[in-house]
Amino acid sequence: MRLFSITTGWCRQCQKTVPARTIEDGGRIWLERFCPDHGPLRTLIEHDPERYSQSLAYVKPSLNPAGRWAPSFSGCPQSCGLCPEHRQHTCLPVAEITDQCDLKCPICLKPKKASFGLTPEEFRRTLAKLADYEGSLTLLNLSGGEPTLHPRFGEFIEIARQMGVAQTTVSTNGLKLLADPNLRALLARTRTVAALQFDTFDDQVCQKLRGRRLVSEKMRLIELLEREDVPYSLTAVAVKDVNDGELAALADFFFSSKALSLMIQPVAVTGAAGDSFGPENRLTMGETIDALESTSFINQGDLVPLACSHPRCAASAYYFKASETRFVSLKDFLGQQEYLDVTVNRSFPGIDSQGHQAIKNKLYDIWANLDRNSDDSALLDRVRTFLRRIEGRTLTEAEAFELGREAVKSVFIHSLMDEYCFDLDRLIKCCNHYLRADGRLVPMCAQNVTGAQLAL
Amino acid sequence: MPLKIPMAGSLGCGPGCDCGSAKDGLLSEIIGSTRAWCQDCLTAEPAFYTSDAGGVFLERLCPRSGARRIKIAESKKWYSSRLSCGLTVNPPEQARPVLRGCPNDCGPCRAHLGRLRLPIFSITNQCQLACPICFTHNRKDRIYHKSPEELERLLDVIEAGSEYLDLINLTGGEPTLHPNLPDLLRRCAKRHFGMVSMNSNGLIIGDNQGLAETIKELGAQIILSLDTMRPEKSLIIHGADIVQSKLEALAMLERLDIPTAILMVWIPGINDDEIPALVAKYLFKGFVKGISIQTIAFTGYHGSRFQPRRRATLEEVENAFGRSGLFDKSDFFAHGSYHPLCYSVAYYLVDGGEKIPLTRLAEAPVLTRATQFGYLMSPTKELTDCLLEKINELWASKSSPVWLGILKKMIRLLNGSQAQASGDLSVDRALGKSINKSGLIKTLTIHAHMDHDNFDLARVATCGDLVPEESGELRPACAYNLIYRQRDPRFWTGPAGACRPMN
Repeated sequence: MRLFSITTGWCRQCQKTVPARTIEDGGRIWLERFCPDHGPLRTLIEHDPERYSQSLAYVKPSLNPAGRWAPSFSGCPQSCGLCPEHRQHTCLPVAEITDQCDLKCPICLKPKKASFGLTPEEFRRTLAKLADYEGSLTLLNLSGGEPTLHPRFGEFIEIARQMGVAQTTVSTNGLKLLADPNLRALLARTRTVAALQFDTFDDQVCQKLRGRRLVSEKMRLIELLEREDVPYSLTAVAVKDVNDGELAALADFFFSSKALSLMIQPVAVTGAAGDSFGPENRLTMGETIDALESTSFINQGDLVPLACSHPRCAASAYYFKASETRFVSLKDFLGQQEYLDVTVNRSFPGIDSQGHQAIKNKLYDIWANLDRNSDDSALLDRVRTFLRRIEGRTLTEAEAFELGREAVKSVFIHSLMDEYCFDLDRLIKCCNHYLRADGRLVPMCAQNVTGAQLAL
Repeated sequence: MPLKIPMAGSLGCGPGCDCGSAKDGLLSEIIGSTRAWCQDCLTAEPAFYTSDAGGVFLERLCPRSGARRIKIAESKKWYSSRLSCGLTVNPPEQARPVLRGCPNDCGPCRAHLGRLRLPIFSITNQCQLACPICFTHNRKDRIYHKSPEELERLLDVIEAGSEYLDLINLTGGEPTLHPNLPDLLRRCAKRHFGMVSMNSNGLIIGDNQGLAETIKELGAQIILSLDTMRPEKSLIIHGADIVQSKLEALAMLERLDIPTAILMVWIPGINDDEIPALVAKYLFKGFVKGISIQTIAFTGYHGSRFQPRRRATLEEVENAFGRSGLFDKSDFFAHGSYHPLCYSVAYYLVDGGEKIPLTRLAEAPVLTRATQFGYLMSPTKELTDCLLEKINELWASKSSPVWLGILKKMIRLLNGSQAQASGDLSVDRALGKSINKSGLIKTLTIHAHMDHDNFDLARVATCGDLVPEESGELRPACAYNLIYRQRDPRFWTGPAGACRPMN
């Protein structure tokens, strides 16, 4: 038996924090919680102890939040908002602008009777405060509910643009987008990325995950998005024994599409999902990586933990697009250490001066070292084109994103926590924060798992 | 009361904080989590290990006391080398249910992950000294001496808690002040422990040859406290100049060849400049089996008030030994039966003025694994294979005849065959005992106790130094020192409020 950490977990029944530990026992990694009233509870968090052990080495300094939004501190997570215990700034603010939705997905993270939302005015106020603390705003995600159902949806995009957000994404089920050409035109014009929920090619599976058979609608929408030059990405919630067998096909589809990124979210059994599925349906980070790697475009070792967050929360791989069918892993491109340096504390690599310089230097290296008679000529041409465009310039964030859309594809795994695997060690390093109407910033998993307990 | 926090400002430092200034906004790596005991709130709270250019820290934020940041290692490199792959643990077979969470259910509870390795118990609270560094609480108003009946019950508890023990430790107060000491030692010797050790300040042993001879006859090992040879430092450390008494005790122990371990408290700024040379002077004497360095912990009636309140990390002590030129930092490795922040050990093979650190013969992880089964090292097959391989290497190179000689003696002791490492715990442990008694091996141990400021539940949960109670509980020594002693009227007095209830 090995002890990896003593930590603080969550008791589902008591709805409060309890002492916990991460241990290896019987060749598996477990999170064990000790609740005074409900006894010891054990949750599987990884199958392969060696892989788990190695993943812990992916640590880079996090960037503390510049501002603390909680008015007082009585402990983590109850004083969330952010409190002084929090150790990571906001890489991705998420604005849940409406609780309205035209679906009732069994995998939804939100409780069935949740009530939340933002007016454009509240949104502007909290975003301004965040911009003040962060210095600048790179990314923003509009979410819900189904954000496109907000009657003043366009105003949010406009406010984000005015506040200098370099890239806005909209998490969407796509139904309104499919029906409304004006909405698609808005996204295309403002270069807003539609983050489309796309979990399966099988309508029966879709019924299980989304409560409706939506595959043909989604495929039709993707066709329209590509034809109308709407930037989009794919987000799949992965449920063990339901759609985990399709992850490889989803990855292959992604690389053959014009989608900018693929996000896999192993199901977190909290909210409505907690009523539909159990902890046995949650894929571990290792299982998710295994399902994606060794597919047509993703090689073993491409997906590495994001070093500024907890290794059980996020893994990513970035690919330089050498041709329509050839993608070179940025990690191979830069080397592991430089790759980690470039990817930490930011949601999109290469757009700040440090990352930009690292990638630029590497491009010159490749330019200098490529065998010009080899099969690498396509890559060479691509690099040359790229170099011409960035020569002697420091790109604005928006320009860098635009360039990135053409040249880079990314794959993320984002493992959200539920009551079973909730761990303060992970929570304090979270960089995905909900912007709340009351002016607070709350890490997604703190809100989703402990929302009712937050000292408001 | 919740702590009021400036919206964009920095955190205030709580008592005991090492940072001296607010650290908010700095780049630091969070390298792990734990829980820590808060003496102000009397509860365990989340805590984190962080690292930056200044070292590795235990950080926590208490709503009542503010931020605390205590250094636990000088470098992330050292920390990672000891803790990167998780910590192999060996939970006790019998444990109590977890009711209120560590450290409130000590006994041990099912959250405990360390087996009993070294039982430590006090046989008296009487002492001639009132050392300013003392981490215990000896009440002068009610002198307590453990009765033979209590001892027998205690020994039963110890035996029930473990299959085989390398040693047990009797402590005090000053154990030689116990009126029936020979009887107690005799009763301990009748049980099946590898060794009975007893702490002493040496004041009586030095001039009472009769008692010293009795101790020798009963086969007990003396753990002599020896912190300084400088009278002015003795005043600071012990409140009295007892240097001459220490020299007399050492002379008596050497003359009678009583197996002795020396215990030195490492006090930064007071005696840290003196210790490596003292260790070099005494460790290789025939009667000295080992030396244990304890980093100062600010607990107990006197110890909690001691100034300067500066802790030393294990790595800091290792570095100091390295800098002394008398030892090497690489001699040390993590003891496999304890948390790596609690114990660091060096083993030396010695013969005819030569010393070979075991880390020169086997990789540190091999040695750590060889200490997973008890307080002393076990001759595991992996370790004996390493030694045999080294013999072959030396034989082939013909480069170090002295080393070869020492190694051959060692292997002869192991009876010349890996087969001796049988996998049978009692056989292996007995073999370990004979090696340790041979004088061929010397141990240098650095042991860090915890106090309120650095009380880390990961260390408590893996502790094997347990304090037995006649009523059956076995409690980690630091949990006992900080929390449970307060409930024992034999060892605790003071205003009613001083004996605070648990939460």
